[in-house]
Amino acid sequence: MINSIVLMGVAIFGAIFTSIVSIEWQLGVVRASALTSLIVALFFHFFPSLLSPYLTQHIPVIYFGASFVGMVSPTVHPKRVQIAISAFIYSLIYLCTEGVFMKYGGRLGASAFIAISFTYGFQLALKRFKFLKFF
Amino acid sequence: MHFSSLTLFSVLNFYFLLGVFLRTGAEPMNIFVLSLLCIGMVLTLRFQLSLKYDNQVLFFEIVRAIFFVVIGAVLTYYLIQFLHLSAVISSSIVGLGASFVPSVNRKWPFASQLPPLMYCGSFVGMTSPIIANGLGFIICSGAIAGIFFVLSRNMFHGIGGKLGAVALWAVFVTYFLIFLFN
Repeated sequence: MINSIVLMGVAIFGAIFTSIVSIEWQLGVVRASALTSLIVALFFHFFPSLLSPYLTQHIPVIYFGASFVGMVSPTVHPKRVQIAISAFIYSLIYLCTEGVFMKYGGRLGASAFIAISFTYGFQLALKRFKFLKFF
Repeated sequence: MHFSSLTLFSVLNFYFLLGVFLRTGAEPMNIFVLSLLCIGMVLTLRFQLSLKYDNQVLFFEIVRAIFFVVIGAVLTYYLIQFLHLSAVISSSIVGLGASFVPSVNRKWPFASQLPPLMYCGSFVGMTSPIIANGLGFIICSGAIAGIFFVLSRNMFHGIGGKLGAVALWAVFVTYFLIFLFN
């Protein structure tokens, strides 16, 4: 349970931090995602005993996928809370899909894509049905 | 072509969700979460269908995309298999290196397209040898990913994870083609 909460926190932090690096620091989406993911991955590569083996293995991976959530454009998710929601959904998908399509390249990206599609889809629906804003 | 491309990508995405559902089981929470994900995706797809844009695809654009995606895939595969770096580190190195190309070489008119192409290729290259079974699979998946990248270039604008999703779709299709012909 604690491991899952830590991984969710890492995902939310990773997505928001990547968004900040990409947009506010103006490094661009690819460089922001690759650079921050590389730093996290190298950190746990050189300090593997800092946390439990489970977290050491999964934190770089979930961060990598969360950085894809952070690559979202401001036109899709203009607010950080929307990025955080997408990152949370992504972390749920990640934790639920352990062992599913594990060896397939692009799995993390697809999970991030689906998470953002989910949040964006409901954003669009809420815009259309304006009366729902009152709830 | 817009509708058929969108249909293909939707089918591959739902295949991914179906795989998740079959693996995690028919528990009420799983059904609820996966249903929400499907609804969200359907809403986004419905929005994509309503968009109108020029979907003309140039042959040279496809060749260029295939070339750089395959390079990204092969480089990442090499870093993982021969230098024994982790998949995340290998993909990040390739992506980071590619991100500096537009800054270094401003004369290329398509330099700005190179980082996402090679980053997408790096996700293909992350495929495990259990699935990939050799460089041929990686090259084939990279080529298909390049085609999908061009076909989807006007779709899902700004949605993060699209590059990875394109890579996963390409790996699915390659695996299916090998299954068909082998």
